Amino acid sequence: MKLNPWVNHDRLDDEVMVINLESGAYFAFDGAAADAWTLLAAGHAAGSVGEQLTGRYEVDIATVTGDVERFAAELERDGLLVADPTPTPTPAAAVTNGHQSGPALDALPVRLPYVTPTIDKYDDLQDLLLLDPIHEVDEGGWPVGRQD
Amino acid sequence: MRILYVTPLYLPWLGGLEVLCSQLLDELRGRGHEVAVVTAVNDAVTPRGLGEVDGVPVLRTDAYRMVTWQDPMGMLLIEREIATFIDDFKPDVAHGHDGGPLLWMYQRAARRRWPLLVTLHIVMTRHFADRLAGLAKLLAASDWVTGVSDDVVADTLSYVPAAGDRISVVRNGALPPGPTAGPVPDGPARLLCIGRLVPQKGFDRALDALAVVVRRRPEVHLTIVGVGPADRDLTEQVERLGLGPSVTFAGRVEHDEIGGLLAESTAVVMPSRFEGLPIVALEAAWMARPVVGTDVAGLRMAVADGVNGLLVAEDDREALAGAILRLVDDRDEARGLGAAARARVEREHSLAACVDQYEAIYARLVAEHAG
Repeated sequence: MKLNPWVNHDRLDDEVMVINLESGAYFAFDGAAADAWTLLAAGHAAGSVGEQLTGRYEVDIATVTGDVERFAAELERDGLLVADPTPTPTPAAAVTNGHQSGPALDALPVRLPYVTPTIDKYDDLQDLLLLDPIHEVDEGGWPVGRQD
Repeated sequence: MRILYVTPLYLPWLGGLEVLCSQLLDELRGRGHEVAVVTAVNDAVTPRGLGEVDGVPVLRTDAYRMVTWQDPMGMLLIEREIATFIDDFKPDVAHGHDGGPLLWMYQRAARRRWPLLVTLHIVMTRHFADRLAGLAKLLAASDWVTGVSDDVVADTLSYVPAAGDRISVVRNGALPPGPTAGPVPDGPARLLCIGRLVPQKGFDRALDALAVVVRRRPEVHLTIVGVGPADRDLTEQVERLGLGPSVTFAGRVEHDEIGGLLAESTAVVMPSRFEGLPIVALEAAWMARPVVGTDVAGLRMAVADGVNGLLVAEDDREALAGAILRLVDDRDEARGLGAAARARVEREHSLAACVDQYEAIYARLVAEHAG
């Protein structure tokens, strides 16, 4: 799997915001979901993601790997990840063959409570924009009066 | 109690929502509550960040633009900015006004740590029927919903039926916009349109009707108060209809001047396409001025045809012109309707009564949240 090039995403601490520019849908991930997204979007396979999450969360490898596989499948259904015809590189191989594979996550000194990664999807924010009275305010701004 | 308002529009912008929120907050502060505001900006001139308006802390965010620009880091930073502000203010309750990206970001930042009341100000289904799924989700994630009129509540239940056990009407209240006015004056008729220059307000319809009116009563004059994106369209319409001498665009007028303008007027023209319970109609009533408007949901909550104003069918230019001429020609009727409007607003739309109801909801939500 690899990141759909029509996806915009950013992470701030333990929160991730993802926007599918093709569908206009917004996604928000926290905690383990944010970590799983960060790794999957960087090209890591589900097994590798599961291993890294066990270093950060109180969860066993079998459970988390299954959860990550389901999470990745949902991300693919929502068009955030797409099938990658090239073999998935390990992070070490990625450096040598030029694949854009992100850094691994650090293990934490104390593992955090685990919450199964789920997708928080908002596919109607563009509609909310239209309902908001502020959308009628132009760049000139409300306090700006007529020029004549 | 510490009360946080989350509203897409706030002072110094001037419109019904802004005036209502500022008056509610003043009244709440007068009753000993601490208040703060999270709002949005969508222009290039208003400063972002934390400021103060009349002693009220106000956080202005770029929420709307970050969603429009599909900027994920911008959205995360604004969510963080809101979280920092509310962590510092520590509200007991939050009160959102209308539903948009700002309310969505507030909900994400607050993570249900405080109870949330959302007030809806307009009838949504009239023009946004197929775009309400997002709003329905925001309302589902709130603790209580109010509508500013029976029309708004009925409309809301049509797209969020599950809100039936946690929704109520709190009718808008308003303060008199100026000293008590005398009755509708004689002399050349002066009409007023007040509001944002947006299609919803229907000022284009007022101009179409005025073109009919001045054929018979050329001395009638219309003043349009407000600014907004429809400014150019309305200006071109005035030129096209040859109404230049009969229309004044006053632009932005300070709220404390509205009372004086109303006092000089014969009637307020409100040909809106949809409303909730418009503050302008309440302010006109406080000044004993009748409203001539369209018979649409929300407006008919403030104006009863033939009792305290005149309502006509939408898109009936001749009917709107006829109603205006009726009051231009018969000032006694205008005075009678104005007096009835004043009596009704005193009876049903005092600001204190409105705040009483919100205060009771806040107290109940805070108690439930604590429990």
